[in-house]
Amino acid sequence: MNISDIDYVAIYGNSKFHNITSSAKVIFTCLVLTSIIISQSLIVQIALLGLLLSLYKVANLSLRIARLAIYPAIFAIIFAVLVSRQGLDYSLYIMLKAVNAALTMILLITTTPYVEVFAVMSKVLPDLLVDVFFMTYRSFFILLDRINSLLKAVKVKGGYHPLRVFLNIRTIAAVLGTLILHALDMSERMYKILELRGYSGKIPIEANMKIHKKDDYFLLSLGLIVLVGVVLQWNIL
Amino acid sequence: MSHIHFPDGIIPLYIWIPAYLVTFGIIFLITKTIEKEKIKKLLPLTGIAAALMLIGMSVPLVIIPVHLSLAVLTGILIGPKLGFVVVFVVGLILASFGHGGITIVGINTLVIGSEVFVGSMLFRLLGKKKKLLGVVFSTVIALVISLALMVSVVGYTAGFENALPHTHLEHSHEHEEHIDHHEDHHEHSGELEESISNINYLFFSGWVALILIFVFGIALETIVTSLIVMFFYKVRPSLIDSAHNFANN
Amino acid sequence: MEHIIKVDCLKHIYPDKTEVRACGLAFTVNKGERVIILGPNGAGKTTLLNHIIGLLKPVDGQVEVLGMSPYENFNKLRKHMGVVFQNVDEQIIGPKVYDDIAFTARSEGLKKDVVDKLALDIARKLCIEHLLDKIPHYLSGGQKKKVALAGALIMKPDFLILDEPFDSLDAKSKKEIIQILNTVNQDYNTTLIITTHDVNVVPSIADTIYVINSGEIVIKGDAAHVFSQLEVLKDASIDKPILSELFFQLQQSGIEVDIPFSIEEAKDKIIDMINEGQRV
Ligand SMILES: Nc1ncnc2c1ncn2[C@@H]1O[C@H](COP(=O)(O)OP(=O)(O)O)[C@@H](O)[C@H]1O
Ligand SMILES: [Mg+2]
Repeated sequence: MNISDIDYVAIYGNSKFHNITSSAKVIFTCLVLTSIIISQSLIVQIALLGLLLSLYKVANLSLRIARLAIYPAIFAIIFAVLVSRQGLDYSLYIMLKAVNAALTMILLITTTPYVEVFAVMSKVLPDLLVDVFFMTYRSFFILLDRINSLLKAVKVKGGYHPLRVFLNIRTIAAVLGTLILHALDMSERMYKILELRGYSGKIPIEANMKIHKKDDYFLLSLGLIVLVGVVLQWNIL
Repeated sequence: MSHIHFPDGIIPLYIWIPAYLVTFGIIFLITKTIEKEKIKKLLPLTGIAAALMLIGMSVPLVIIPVHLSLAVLTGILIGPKLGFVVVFVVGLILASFGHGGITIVGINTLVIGSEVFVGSMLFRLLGKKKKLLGVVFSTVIALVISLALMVSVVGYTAGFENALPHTHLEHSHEHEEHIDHHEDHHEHSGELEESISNINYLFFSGWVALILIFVFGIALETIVTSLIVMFFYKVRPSLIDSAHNFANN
Repeated sequence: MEHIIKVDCLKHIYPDKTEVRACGLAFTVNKGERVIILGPNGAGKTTLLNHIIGLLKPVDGQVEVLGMSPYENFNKLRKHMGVVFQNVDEQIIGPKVYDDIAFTARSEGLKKDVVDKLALDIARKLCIEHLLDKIPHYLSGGQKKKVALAGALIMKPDFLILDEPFDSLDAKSKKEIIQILNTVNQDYNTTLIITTHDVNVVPSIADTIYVINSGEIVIKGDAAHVFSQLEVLKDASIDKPILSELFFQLQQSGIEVDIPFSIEEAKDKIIDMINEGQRV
């Protein structure tokens, strides 16, 4: 699972959740993240995990995707065990918090294409940042294609062998050199293209983000209920 | 290189929220002060640098298990301002799929951003006359500084276990006191002190071993950065000079 | 008639000291003309185009567009030009197809309804309305070419400059692009300047062909003239355009048939003609 797989799932995935307007999903994500971060109760974290998993079901996301959350889980466990010594409950709590937060982000990003998330964020972030996001996204895929064809060529030409470390290092250095040169030339060409096409210091986009569907409102209400619930529970304690 | 892969929920609010605020403050300053022409000229290279960083993390290098961030290189290539922006953007994209928590992005940006800033500023000072020496020196210093920053953040968090959010209310109270008077915290309870020192011992003896890894990491990152910068000078000499206005002075 | 583009014995030196020339016959373009620059890889076609666009500064020789030096008047002239580079991936900047097509119009600060109309019109003309909401990375090569073309055409430029637009396209996409270019040329009187190494597309799109080989413009003329000089073409290692030549001569002798780009297509056409009882 890497960025291009994730983007593919987000764009070609088909579910009720995928169809919700991007801005609603981004706001929902913020609400749920806030809830996860401020909640200090294990029970609440377990409940949130349940909620998230059912949303994964709704969004038709495979286990392969949820596996991305294993990494933060392991990290959190190491931390909890090594540092806190607060017993099982506390370790579980720390771990769930990490996993829930990761699951929330992954749910957003596997159901909403990056460009749409950036478009929503363009409403609040400075132009420069948004332009860098878009440029990064475009360049990522162009360069990834390039790398893949370079690596293919290397394998075909026998520049790679699982056991011959020095051959591999030399090959990688060569691939890296080619790639960097290509990237440099590409950046020069893209600069000229920006000039030619009249770039004015901002990549103009149309962010049609009006929340209007029934499901949009449903998701937003869900997010609000979660947050209010967590805040109330927090105050009562 | 120094990358805090912390998930959410470990670093306390009173660290990550100010870190985010400072990060946004810096980005705001950058957008206000950077020349428009420079943005036009460097935007594609900025995007490409960020993309290369991301690719570096998603294409598995089977042979070399070390993961380079090449942040100093980025700073040298596109300057400290756009370099800082790149670090933030890459951090946010990584956090989008759980590679480091979303709340940690601010801290990470500051730590790695300092690497970019120190590296490229030093290079700006030194690299004009003596290129190779300039790169090596700038990279090493930048890495040491950002490592020190990272170690303090991690050490601080790990050292004050009670600064973490708790399931019990009494602890929560205690922890607030800790934030306010953490210098004299050992006066409060001897038991606590003992357990902290135990943990510190465990934790920091681990760090001693890590220091060796750090030294190795610094060396490797410095070598790679220097090689690539010198390669750039050979194939596209104007590129680096223009990012630092060397040609103008 | 006043030439809108003139290039005279251009010389360029790249930073690595590679010297590229476009000398020999003078290169001139009239308003509304469809010009093909034909030559093998490395002949200097792209270099020539980049000079006309104003991206490169000539070391020697003369380049004039609308009576100006394009390098010195880049910002004035770029508004008259639409450009489609060889690698369209690098020129598609908008995060979605619609954003990319509208890029130049929006950057000029046009009003939303004006931009919308321009973008929709051009998308319709290129038959890519159904792609407007797509993300460029996931399009096919031919679709990307069309998106880049739409982005270049939105402001109805006086010239359209295309570098190897038919490169790595299948026969069907090639044909579509040629049709689009011809329509644009007719409807807006847009001047076309196109480089290619693919001799088979030439007859269906060129008014004037320049053959360039190792720094020299060796032939200038219409398709009939160029195809008559097989020796020079061979020197320039340009494939013998047997198919094109055959069908071109069929056209010349009054038979209504398009020029095919592949043997399969030619076969189908011949079968059609036989079936229709046309005498071949
Ligand atoms: N950026 C560059 N740096 C150095 N040499 C170049 C560059 N671009 C093109 N060349 C060289 O100039 C010659 C002409 O190239 P080009 O104009 O791209 O030819 P064509 O487009 O006909 O294939 C080739 O020998 C090529 O290697
Ligand atoms: Mg070319």
